[in-house]
Amino acid sequence: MKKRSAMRLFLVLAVSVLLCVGCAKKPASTMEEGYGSGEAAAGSGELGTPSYGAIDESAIGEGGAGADKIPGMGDDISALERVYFEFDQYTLTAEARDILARNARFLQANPGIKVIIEGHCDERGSDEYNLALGERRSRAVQSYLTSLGIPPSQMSIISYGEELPLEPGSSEEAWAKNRRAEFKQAR
Amino acid sequence: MAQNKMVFHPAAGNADSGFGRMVFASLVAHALVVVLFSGLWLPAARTIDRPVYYVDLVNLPVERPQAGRPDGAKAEPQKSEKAAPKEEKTVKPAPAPAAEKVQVAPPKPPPVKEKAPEVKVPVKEAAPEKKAPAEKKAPPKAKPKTVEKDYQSVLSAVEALRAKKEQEQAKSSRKAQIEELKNKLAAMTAQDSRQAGAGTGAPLGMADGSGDQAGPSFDLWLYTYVRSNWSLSKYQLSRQDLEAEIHVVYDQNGNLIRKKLTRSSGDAVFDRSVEDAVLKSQKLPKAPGQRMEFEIIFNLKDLLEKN
Amino acid sequence: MRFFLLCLFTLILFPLSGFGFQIEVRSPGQQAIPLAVTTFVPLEGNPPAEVIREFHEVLSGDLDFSGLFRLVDPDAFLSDAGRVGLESGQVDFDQWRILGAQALIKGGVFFNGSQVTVEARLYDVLRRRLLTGQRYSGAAGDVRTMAHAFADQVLKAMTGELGPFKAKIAFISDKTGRKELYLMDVDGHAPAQLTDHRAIVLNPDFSPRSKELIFTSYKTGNPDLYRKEIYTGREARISSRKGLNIAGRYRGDGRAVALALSQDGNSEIYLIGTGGDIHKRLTRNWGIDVDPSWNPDGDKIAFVSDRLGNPHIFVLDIFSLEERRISFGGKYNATPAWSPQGDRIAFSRLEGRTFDIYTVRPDGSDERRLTFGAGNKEHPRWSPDGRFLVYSSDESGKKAIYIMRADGSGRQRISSPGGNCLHPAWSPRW
Repeated sequence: MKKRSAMRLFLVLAVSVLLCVGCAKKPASTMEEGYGSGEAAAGSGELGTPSYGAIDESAIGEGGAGADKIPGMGDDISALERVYFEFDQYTLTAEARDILARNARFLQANPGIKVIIEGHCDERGSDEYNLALGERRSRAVQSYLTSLGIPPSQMSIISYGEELPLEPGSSEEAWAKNRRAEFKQAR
Repeated sequence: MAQNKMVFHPAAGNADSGFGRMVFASLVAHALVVVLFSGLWLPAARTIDRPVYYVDLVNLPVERPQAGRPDGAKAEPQKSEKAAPKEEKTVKPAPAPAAEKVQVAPPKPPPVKEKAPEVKVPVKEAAPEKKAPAEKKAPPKAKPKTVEKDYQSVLSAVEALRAKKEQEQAKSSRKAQIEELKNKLAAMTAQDSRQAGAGTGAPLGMADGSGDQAGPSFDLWLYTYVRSNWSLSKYQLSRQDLEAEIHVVYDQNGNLIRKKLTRSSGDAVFDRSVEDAVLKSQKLPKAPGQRMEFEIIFNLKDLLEKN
Repeated sequence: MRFFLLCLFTLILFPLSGFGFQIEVRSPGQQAIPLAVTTFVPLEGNPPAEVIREFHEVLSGDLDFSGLFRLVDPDAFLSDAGRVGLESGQVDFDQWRILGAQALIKGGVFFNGSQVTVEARLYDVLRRRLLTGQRYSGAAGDVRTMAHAFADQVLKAMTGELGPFKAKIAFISDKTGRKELYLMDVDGHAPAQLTDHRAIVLNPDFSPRSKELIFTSYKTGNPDLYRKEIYTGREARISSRKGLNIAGRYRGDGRAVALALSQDGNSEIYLIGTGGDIHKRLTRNWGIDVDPSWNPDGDKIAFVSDRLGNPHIFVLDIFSLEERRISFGGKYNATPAWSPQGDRIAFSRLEGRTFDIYTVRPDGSDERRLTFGAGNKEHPRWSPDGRFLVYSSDESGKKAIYIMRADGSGRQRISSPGGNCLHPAWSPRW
């Protein structure tokens, strides 16, 4: 008997407390239109859901096969395949390891070919952090190839971070294609 | 009584566990209350410690406010006979003050008091010195209903004088612009929804009023007046937890005779802004009939809460 | 006992009686200072109307953006606006009081065919006196700089500290097809290309003492750190170690640079001299350490590390090498920027699917979100007075540069369309 009324009392208390406390509204930051030259951006002031699919992005002359080369960049080398990475990761997937095993065989068969291993990231996040992450990726590939017997002198690494995407755009597919390490032949 | 609570019946398991459960439930409920109200989990409840009244500065303060609300409705318009002849007088020396009356009752005369302090008449080079005393005498807060009567006569007088002034092109075009601006302002004021709580049906007075006069109390009126004269941007400050105190004394005619910064906020910009606010409030529109002293505390607590 | 109670009672009630003793005003009735900015009058030599108009537009824009003021409608201006007399005895302050203006700016312009001289004055309408007056001389093309300089002075008169409007903003743009370094005014005017590396240029930082910038460039194939003098164009490569030489940031005294090097196999933060020689290695762990930002005293650095699995912001003491985590929310926190006042650190955080800008105290408390809505807002940097932030956002489809007040309000775009504009930096007041 006492137990039940005690529980009831507790419930009533809990519910009434919850009702009293309520929710405080967070002030939405106000955004005003600017006076500056150029397009004025229309911003929403509330927490909104971004519409990623709608953004149209076109790469400008960078990256991609056949585009102007960055100084020091090697030549494309079709025999060596790219490997891809998960977001914010530099560990090699099983699939990546298979690809690298094949690449290793090519490199062993052609000891005269020196390669540059480039590390790349998708466009999300800090550019500097992505430079470091890209380097991590290329280093991971280099270590793995070393463990497969490729002499370190045959490889060098460089990171381009998010600077040279393979695929422009802001979709999951584009991002997945850009998180990569690829091989160029050193000149 | 202690006995009841403390009695143990080791043999009777039910009562024992029932008591134990009650204690546990009580403890949990208490803890829940503490946690919920501490703001750790859910946002802390805001307590509003005093009601916020909108006192329209047009409603002059009174010594013995009646029972009512400071934003209540006025019973009947006070017929100030003084206002009418003043208007006639001021029409002649300069058409400008008349323009002000026009503004008071524009196309649709609003049963509304306009914002008194800021909206004054544009000065004309024609008669600046004449106009100044005239302005002082004719309180800009003329009651709308009396002005409505004079509206037509005033309007025709304005028209006549305006035709005269039309020759000086630059000046008249200026006036037209100002007219437009004043009309805009009056129209905006008419739409101002922060009107007297006419819906409540309360007369104009104070909640704790027990007098016989319709109007807010002097301290509430002064609070609104000083606040409206206090301009400060939060971007001038690096902190918002500032507070300053000024001691002011008004004589029986409503003139500020003494002001002293009794507590500085430590920030020169903040101090200067509150002194400016008091300076702008140096003349009360109505003689209080006796000397009044106030400690006015200025802080930014309302801004802090909003953050 | 009763007497005591009566006294107590009276004391309690006293404040409530009659002409209340105490009034508490808890916020200003006007939270912006009403300011009237008149169009300056031509005084001599027939200055071009364009010059006068431009000065007015730039000055009004800066003061409006500052957030301190509410600009009074110029249509309401009266005869005194056109009056030539600028001495405070000659200004008809009553007119301005009627309009509700509390501050007034008037001025005059002289022209001798090639040289423009502007006299600008800020008045306190209530006290009827001059608050600050300046005279500027220069070519007609420099009139915008004059207006920015006066805006800085106005802020100093109103708050005690100079504004940042005369400074410059450096940024990266790819409108030529390659990421190069540019410089523009704080309002986005006159962007000028500074580098022609035809590779990838990234992340500039201004020297606090001299008019130079450091930045990273792939000009020779490797991300190396370069230093460039802005107005002579002289350039030097100061760190070209193996691997990354990125995210260079000058210390407040201008005598050292923090940057991320990966020469030891992992991206770590180092302290180097302005000539490039390594003074000290500052981080030592297996994770990525990058993105350093100095505090104004030059003894602490905020930086990004993923040693805990994903990128968070840490604060490091240069001398003790003690590190402390200060970001706890979100899964990706980056681009920290320590304010010149030292009291807050701005950074960007991935929230959901986009990045937004936050600020936090250096001890990690009092985190506040500044930006909302669509688009990625990244790379915040502070103005030298700590009142404003510049950052990049791609909400319009392409990355563009925006400025806003430090509380997140008043944001506006300043970079012109055409290409992506990113990695902004706000110069010191030279």
